Amino acid sequence: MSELKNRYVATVLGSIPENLRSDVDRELRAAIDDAIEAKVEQGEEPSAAETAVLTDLGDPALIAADYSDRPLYLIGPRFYLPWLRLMRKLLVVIPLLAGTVAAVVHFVTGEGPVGAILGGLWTGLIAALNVVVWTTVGFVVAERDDAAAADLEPLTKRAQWSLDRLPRVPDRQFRLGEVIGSMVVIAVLFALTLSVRNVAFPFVDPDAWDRAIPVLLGLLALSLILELGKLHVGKWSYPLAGANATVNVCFAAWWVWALSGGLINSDDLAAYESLTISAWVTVAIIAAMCIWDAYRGFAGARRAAA
Amino acid sequence: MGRLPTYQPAAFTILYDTQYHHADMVDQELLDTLRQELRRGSVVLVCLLALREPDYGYALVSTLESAGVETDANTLYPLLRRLERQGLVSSEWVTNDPRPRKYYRTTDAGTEVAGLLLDDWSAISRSIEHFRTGETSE
Repeated sequence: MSELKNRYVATVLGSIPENLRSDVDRELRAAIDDAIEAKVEQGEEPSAAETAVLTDLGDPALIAADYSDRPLYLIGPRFYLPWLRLMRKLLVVIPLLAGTVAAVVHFVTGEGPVGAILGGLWTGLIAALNVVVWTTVGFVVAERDDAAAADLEPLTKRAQWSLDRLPRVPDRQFRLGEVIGSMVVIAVLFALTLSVRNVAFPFVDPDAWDRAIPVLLGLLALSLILELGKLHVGKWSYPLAGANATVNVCFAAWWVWALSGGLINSDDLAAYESLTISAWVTVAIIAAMCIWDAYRGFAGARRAAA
Repeated sequence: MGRLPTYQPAAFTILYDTQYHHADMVDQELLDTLRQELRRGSVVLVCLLALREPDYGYALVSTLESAGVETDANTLYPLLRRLERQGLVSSEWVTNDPRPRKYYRTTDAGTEVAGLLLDDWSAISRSIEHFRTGETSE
């Protein structure tokens, strides 16, 4: 009759600390026997009573956790946010660092740029997985062990919330990612322009080309400075919008000049005639983009001033 | 077995003996959760008060049940042990019963804690009453 009871009690005892076992054993058995007895007195079949009582007591793992004060979660509210914040930080820094180092090593040891990039990505991925696993393991242990929790204290303290850590949402109009994106685009255009500096195109006047390219490079450098300014100031102001508009007007002017014949070798003018339509369409598109960008600056400055 | 606790404050009777009549549109699951949360802290107080008269695990479950306190045996036994470790109840094995039983009794510290908790309980009860009737005490 008491086979189920024995199994139940043994299961509970199996996952509670050694020093509690004999006491919990006696008490739990007595309690189960009491409950069965009460049911039998009310006229229930002994084996049915046992089944009912044990079913009522529920999952033995749950009782065992309760007896041994074990949490029934991996990371509780005390550590969840420190865990999340630390994880976010480490997931950026460690994979980036490991990936970069690996890419450099791959490159130095003679692999091509593609091999180096792939090697870097792979190492970054492995590093990210390690960050996730070990950070989580650390916090899961701390949740269950006071000594480990004390060890983690400097980390959790640093990840603690404080008023001056509130992000400055309202007075930043430029997002870091956006500005960096623009800077990358500008850098690519700069490199592209540099690479076509010495190319001789048909219809293009070599002297005009030599004069125009440094101007374009200068304008690109100016817009790069403008992006740095955006990053520094954080939001549009009228001077910044003015500078932005000026750079845009210069860009538009350069393209209008170049496509309306400024770059064209006058000897090939006849051949150029057929390009005129597409040239003007291009000019129109570029001008529209420049006007739009200049307008955005002033609109942003007005919003920031409001 | 069905002994009533020696002392039953009015607040408990209100909370535990009220029949919860509710309209069908109330989500039963939600209601169960809310009631469980409302009761959670009170079990400790009930135990400390009930155990001023020594009792053993299963008998306490029946005592509480017959007094209208809904408790689960599987949370009560570990709770008693925790209260013992916290010094709020003490225990003693009694072997002259038909089977050996561990009797728990509220300690002096436990009685003091119960008194303080009871003050809080009364304060909560007064606040609730205040909002229920919409009367101001001034």
